[in-house]
Formats: sequence, C-alpha cells, structure tokens
Amino acid sequence: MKRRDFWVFTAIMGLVLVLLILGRALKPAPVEKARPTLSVTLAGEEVSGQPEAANSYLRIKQGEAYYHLVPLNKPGEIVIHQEHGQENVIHIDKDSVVMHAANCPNHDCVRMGRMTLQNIETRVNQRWITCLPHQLSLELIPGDEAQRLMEGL
Amino acid sequence: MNTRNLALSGLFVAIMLILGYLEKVLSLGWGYGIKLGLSNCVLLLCLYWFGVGNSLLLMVAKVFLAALLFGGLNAITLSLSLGGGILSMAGMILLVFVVKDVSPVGAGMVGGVLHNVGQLLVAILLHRFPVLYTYMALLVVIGAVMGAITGSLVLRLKHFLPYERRQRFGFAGKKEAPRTS
Repeated sequence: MKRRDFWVFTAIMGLVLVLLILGRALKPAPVEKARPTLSVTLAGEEVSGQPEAANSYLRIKQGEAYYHLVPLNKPGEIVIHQEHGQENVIHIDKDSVVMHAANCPNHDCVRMGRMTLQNIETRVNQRWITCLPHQLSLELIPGDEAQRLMEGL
Repeated sequence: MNTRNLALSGLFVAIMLILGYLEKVLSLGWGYGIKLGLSNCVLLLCLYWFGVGNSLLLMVAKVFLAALLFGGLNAITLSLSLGGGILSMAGMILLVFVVKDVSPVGAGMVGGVLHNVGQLLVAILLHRFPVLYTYMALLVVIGAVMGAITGSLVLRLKHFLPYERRQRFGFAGKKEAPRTS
C-alpha cells in the first residue's frame, strides 16, 4: 500500500457516506404526473381509467410511456409483451408486487424479489423494480399519493 | 507496437472474454448488478504493460466482442458497458499516469467504483432509471471491494511485466538486474 491509497480509500468512503445521507434525507421524489396511455389486462379485464380503490397501486412504465395504475387489492398476473419478443411476467397480490419471470439477459429484475407496501421503506431499490434491458420499471405507489396523482390527471 | 505486444494484446482480450463468460455462467451476479469484474484486473495490468492507447483499444474490443458473443448486441447493454468501461479506464489512467504513487489496489478500487458509477449514470441519464441514493451507495461499496480484489491480483501479477515497465512504476526490486532476453 502506498501513501495515496489512503486518500483513495478515504474519498470512496466519503462518497458512500454522502450517498447514504442523501438516501436517508431525501424521500423518493413525488410521482411525476404523466398521462397513462397503455392499459394492462388483469383477470380478463382491461385496467384503464379510474381503477378500483386500494391501499396501494402499481404503476408500470415502459420506455417513456405509462400504463394505467393497477390497484393492488387481489392476486393476479400481468404479462407485458413488447414488439421484439421481450416478455415480463409480473405477479401482484394485496399490496405487493414481484417480477415473476422475464426473458431479459440478466434477470436482475427477477432477483430483486417481492416489493411490498411495508418493505419499500427499507429496500435498496426502494419502491422500484426495474428491468433495464426491457426499459421497464414497476413503481409501487401508496394509496394517498396515487389518489393525488389520479385527481391531477 | 511490436509483434510481441500485439500477440499479448490478443491473448489479453481472449482472457477477458473468458473471465467475463465464466462470471456469467457461474452467476457471480447476485442481482442488483453486482459482480466481480475480473476483466478489470486484466485491463489494469494492460495499463501498466502497454500504456493508455492500447489499453483503451482493448477495452473497446472486449465490450464489443462480449456483446457479440454472449448476447447483448443492443443499444442498452452496449451503452451500459461502454459507459462503465470508459469512466473506469479514465479513473485508472488518472491514478496510474497522472497522480502516480498509487498501488494497483488503489487504482483497482477506483476502477471498480467508477465502473459502477458510469453504468448508473448511463442508466439514469439515457434510460431514465430512477435515482436511488442508497442503491448508489451499495454499488460504490461493492465496486470498491471488488476493485480491491482485482487490484491485489494485479499486485501478484506485476512480476510478469517487462523490466523497464516495472522500473517505471516502481515495481522493480533494487537489486534486480535487467533481464537479457
């Protein structure tokens, strides 16, 4: 170990500390208002417009487009197909979301596990499950925030 | 570039590809984009061995060949690996050739951290990945740990460097005579 290695180490630890403090101090940015243009099929019914009342909602974003909010009040399966054969299978339950399967190369999204209304405070990825190769992100939005979002539209 | 270095460059690219493939097959990724990044160790060794220009070329060759061979020849995967690769190389070049007086462990740590930072920056700026500070902190720690591992591997491998390169970076022992081959 040479002398300047110490400074390298200190700088990296400093960066980690700053990021951790920022992560603690800053709450997740409030939801962006965006007009949903796509709808998903859940148990044979299309979810669009005003969704059923629920404690929490799932917002799916693909590329720049948003799907209509999906109420998280009962078990269900959502399959997102894209034009080049990309496929993501999302399983939802009461207040929880998990990426069940995906045909992306790295499967990071599947490994991110189940996200629930309770664990989004402590998860590393907070309230997101992201599938970068498919440019797909799942965001779990608490009910009150979703209400404000829907009223603003 | 002489024939010897050309042959070595080809060998290094092959080693990087194999290491990258092994990491993928053995699934040394635990989700969240965490992996060992063994090819970083080869690139760091290349920096000491060949200097800046050739190492950058090898990095670009590795990124494109890995994409071609192991799937991932799409804009997203390529931009992520290039973003990580370029930033990590920039950091290691800065430490090795400008700052100097940094051991391979320090350079490897910076390389590992900057690789993750570069990938995240590309993901956030180009692909609208959400900005998650806790996740960034995790990736920086992981990058530092993995970089320290790859850096200490280079520390073990430095004896393979040609004498004049070892001398230049202060790796040569005091009593060692130049090799006559």
